[in-house]
Amino acid sequence: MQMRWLLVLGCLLITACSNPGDETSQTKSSTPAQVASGIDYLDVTPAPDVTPAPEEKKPEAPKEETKPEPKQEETKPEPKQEEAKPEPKQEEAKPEPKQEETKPEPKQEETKPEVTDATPAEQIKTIIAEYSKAQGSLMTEARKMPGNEGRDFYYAKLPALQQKCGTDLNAVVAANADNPANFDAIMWVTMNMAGSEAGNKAMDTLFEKYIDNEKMANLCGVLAQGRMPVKNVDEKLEQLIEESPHKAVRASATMALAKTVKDETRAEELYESLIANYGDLTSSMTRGKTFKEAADNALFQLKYLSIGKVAPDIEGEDLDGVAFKLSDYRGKVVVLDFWGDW
Amino acid sequence: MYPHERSLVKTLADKPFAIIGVNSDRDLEKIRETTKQKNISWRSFWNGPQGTGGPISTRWGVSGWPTIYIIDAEGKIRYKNARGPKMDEALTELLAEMGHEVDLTNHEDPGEAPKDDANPNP
Repeated sequence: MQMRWLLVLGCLLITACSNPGDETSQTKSSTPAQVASGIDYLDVTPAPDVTPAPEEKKPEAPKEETKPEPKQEETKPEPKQEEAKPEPKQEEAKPEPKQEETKPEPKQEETKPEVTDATPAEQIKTIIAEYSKAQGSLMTEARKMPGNEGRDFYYAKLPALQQKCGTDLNAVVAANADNPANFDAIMWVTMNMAGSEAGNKAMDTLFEKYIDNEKMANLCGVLAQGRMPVKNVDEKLEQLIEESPHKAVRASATMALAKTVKDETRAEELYESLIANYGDLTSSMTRGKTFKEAADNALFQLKYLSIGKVAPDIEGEDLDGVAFKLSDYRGKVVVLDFWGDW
Repeated sequence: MYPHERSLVKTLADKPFAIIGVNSDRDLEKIRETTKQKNISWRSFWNGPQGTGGPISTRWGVSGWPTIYIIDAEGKIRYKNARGPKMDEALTELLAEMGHEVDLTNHEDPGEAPKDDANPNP
């Protein structure tokens, strides 16, 4: 029963976080921490893992293992994808800076980390770790509840945790002006408190002081989802494309802007730019594919798979090996269903 | 999905309507068996032995299953991922454009076991 709830919760989270018309499967693997918080289903870019594409061709990720909602039985009262509301819940979008650390948290046993001799970097890490732990507990508690109660409970309690973490982080940042470690704290506040005064201020700080930081790629990954309640996202991404010294950040910003910009012509230009300038890079944003592959795909979809376009024909064989074409059904209303029984 | 789709196939049997699947199961034999068991009567392309990495879903940029496109009589894509009641509304609208009034507000799943098969030849 609990597993079923987890699945449902996963679906709800997807729904809460998906864009209209956006296919919402996540294909990256998850860390235990992400699973614990249920965010393995979410399209989050946790680390600046933009690296040159490996020489050998990587096998396609086994997508079916990570598909989020295989059974869309109509009996479930789940909101449909296209109804997804861009909820201003950004806890899923946290950058998980801990992931980059392989050593165990050294200050875990300290009960009052703020009065220890911990460096600002350690303090920031501890505060974020404590938040993640509290969030995990909240999720565990919520999962025990029936129906949508757990979800409502979770979202009712979460803001207080975020508020506390944000306040603690801002205190560390304020006490240690210009410490490089502040970046992680400011990024956390930017992503988790988006839309609030603290979140807006943190975002401004990132662009004023840290635009050269390589981890700004993480922000692009989240902005690409188009759900952060942030103003002037287009301008910010343009600024990163112009000013970042890191190719990986520029690529991520280009991808993010292409995905979110309203103007389709501009989107096409950006995808073309990705193919021309950053084609060989990969990123978690593109789920292990190169930017070229991802951009090729996106361009095809933009040109041929938008609402109002004539569907590209499909020629293939049915399950009995008989050849047929989608266009054989011209003259009928067709539900084209990409499905699998798993 | 199956109950809803089975229901649509039955309810719209005499209308210019079709469900076309793109099946991404790797095991063709197994999915053939499944379609029999679950009364999945509509036709599907097979996406090939690569499953979800197969050529059709890749070309269509599908990264979530199920992904649904609703296509009108002229072959134009009109809706993406409209499911359940949304799908019913979309189909009602598109069929109405063709002069077919249908009521999909209350249609029922005919169930897994087709009635024809309930009385196998002795």
